[in-house]
Amino acid sequence: MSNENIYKRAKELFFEKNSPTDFIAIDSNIIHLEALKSSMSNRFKFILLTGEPGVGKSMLLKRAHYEIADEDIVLIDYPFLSLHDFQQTLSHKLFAKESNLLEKIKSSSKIYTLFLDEVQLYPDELLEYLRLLSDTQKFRFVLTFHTDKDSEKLQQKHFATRTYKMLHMNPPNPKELQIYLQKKLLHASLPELARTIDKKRAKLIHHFTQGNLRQTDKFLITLFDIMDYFYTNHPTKINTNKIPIKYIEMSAIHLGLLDA
Amino acid sequence: MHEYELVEKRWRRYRYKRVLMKVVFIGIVAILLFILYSLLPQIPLPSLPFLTSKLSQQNYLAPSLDFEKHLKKYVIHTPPQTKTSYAKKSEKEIPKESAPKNRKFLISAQKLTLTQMLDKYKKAPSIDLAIMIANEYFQQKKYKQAMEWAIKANSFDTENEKSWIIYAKSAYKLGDKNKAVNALKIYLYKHKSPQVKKLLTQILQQEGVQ
Repeated sequence: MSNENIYKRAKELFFEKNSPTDFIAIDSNIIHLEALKSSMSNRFKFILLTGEPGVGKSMLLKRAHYEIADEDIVLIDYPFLSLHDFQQTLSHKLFAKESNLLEKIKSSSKIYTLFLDEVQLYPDELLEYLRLLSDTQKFRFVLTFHTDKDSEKLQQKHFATRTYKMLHMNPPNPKELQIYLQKKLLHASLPELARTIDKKRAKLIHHFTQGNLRQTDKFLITLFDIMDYFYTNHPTKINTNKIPIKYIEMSAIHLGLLDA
Repeated sequence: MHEYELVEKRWRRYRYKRVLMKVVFIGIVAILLFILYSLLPQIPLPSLPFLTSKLSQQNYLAPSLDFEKHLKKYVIHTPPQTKTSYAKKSEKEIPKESAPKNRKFLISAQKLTLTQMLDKYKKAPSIDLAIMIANEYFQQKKYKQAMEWAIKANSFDTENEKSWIIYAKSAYKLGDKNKAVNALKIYLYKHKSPQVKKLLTQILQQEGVQ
């Protein structure tokens, strides 16, 4: 191991940047990404992307938007509390200025695709508006929802008959999580740390985070922060090429995921 | 103290608890195994019927065993009325020639026919009678019946040595050497019986019984 404090670098790596270039392809999200990309050539009103919080829906949406790279596709990755705010933002994004959206659309020959994130937070009035826009045949939507009973009701109420495809994302399994962590570390040129994420460690981290990627990132930040602290202040305690199980368990204790 | 050093302290406590729990668990398992093991010898022998699924009617051996002769004496010298005297006498081997003349009458007066034994058993079943009947059948070379009566005797007391011996001899005579050997081995697993051991050796070596 070199003298450079690799733990500090690794810690920085796991801070959420939400950039589509940080997307890590694993089995469970590649399938959905390809499904989304291939659907763009079809006619549809709504595609719903669902899954538990932290499963990687937002990142997938951003990555799809990034890869398709079409100027008629608009990504809005924050929720709206009122219809007015939404209309203003949309006009601005589509026509670069505030204007009467419906009037503008009528005169346009384009079909716009809207990628909307966190739709479970949208008020009913706004969901109804999305439905209306879809009926104009000028808009189509890719929406992400958290999976819970309320959002399921919401989907059925507003989009049941208009949904073309529903993609449900599951949390990665331990093997996928191992690949996720290794790829992430390798992308940041930290092969020595990528190698230390073996099956046993990945399984243990998965056990604590249940495969939730947001939780996993947070876990890894804590883990490398602890290792950074001991590497700086008690270098004799970190004398191995592997991430000791001790520090994984300490991270879990610190985050309240392990009762000690 | 830095928060991570406190976390390390908590981790040490957690680790200590986990190791302690493992030790306690292993200890409990070890104690349970020990108790189970010490209880094993007290588990009664399996009764004979489990061995009687198939009685081979074929391949009768012509055994060189002379235990028939021995059994004849055993029946003659055993009054069926008393259990204790029966047991004692059964172990003795008194040659016919050496028996005093005045005992002949007494012996012949005490001997019961098979029909009488079966009648008696009907009225008052007992392990001694069952063994006598088994022996009688054995002498008459009716080995299948001898086996059945050995099983009946065994159902009174699974530890009864004679029932196992008659069963094994009958099985052997019927040509089922394996069954005979298995029965004797099962008995020897629980008991140190020179008689059974001797019989087992004889059967295994196909030698005559001394």
